[in-house]
Amino acid sequence: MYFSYAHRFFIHCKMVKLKKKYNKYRVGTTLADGKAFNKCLEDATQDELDQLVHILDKKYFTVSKMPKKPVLDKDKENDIPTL
Amino acid sequence: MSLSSGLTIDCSSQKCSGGVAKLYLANKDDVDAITYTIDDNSTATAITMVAAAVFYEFEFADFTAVFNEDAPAENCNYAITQTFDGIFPCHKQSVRDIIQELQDGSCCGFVGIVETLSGVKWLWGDLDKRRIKLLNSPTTTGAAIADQNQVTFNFQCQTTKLAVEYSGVVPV
Repeated sequence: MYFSYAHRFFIHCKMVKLKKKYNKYRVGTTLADGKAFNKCLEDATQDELDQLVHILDKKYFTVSKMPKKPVLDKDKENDIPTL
Repeated sequence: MSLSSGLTIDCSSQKCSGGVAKLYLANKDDVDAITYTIDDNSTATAITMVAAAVFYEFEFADFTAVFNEDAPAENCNYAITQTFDGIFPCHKQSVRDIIQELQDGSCCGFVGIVETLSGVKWLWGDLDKRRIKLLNSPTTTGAAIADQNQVTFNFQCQTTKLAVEYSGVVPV
């Protein structure tokens, strides 16, 4: 799945929050690809976290503002940009 | 919310055998957040537990577990009473200990999920201050040989919200 730069930045911000504050939380849900997620957030893979940020309660996240000069997204296969 | 659609019976929904497969209960303080599709009257999609806490699974004897909702109207209000009854065979110390824990936890209450034999999971007891409590747990040794030595569990939740379907995975 291809994410735009803005999309990936927001996901990254959310994941940082997830990892920092809620890595001990256990989540039960069904992911968008139909797979079951029933484990602690700290055990989630990158792909699972990408999906979980769209599923979990919004109270978990504080998304920071977009940077003024976004990095050009030349390679669509790149990993999520480093903050 | 005003009425916006009706009900149509299709072929697939006509076969819907009764029965409960499992009951899952979690201490209300162990549940950090429940994610709903729209609001708390819509399908729940995810449950986030505090500090790796889990739901505990309860099994009951065949054809004994049942989940009921009663929603009588009074003064334009609906006082919903949800009940779950199930029989666990062969009373013993370990079952007695579970009853004790359920009694101790009932003051704060529990959040529950009922999984039916048709595969649908119903989430109940998630409204603040309207949690599931152990209403009664009568035990009997039975008298005749054919009688069953058993414990009957009666759970109840008095609330203003009907149980909602839970489409996620139970965090056990």
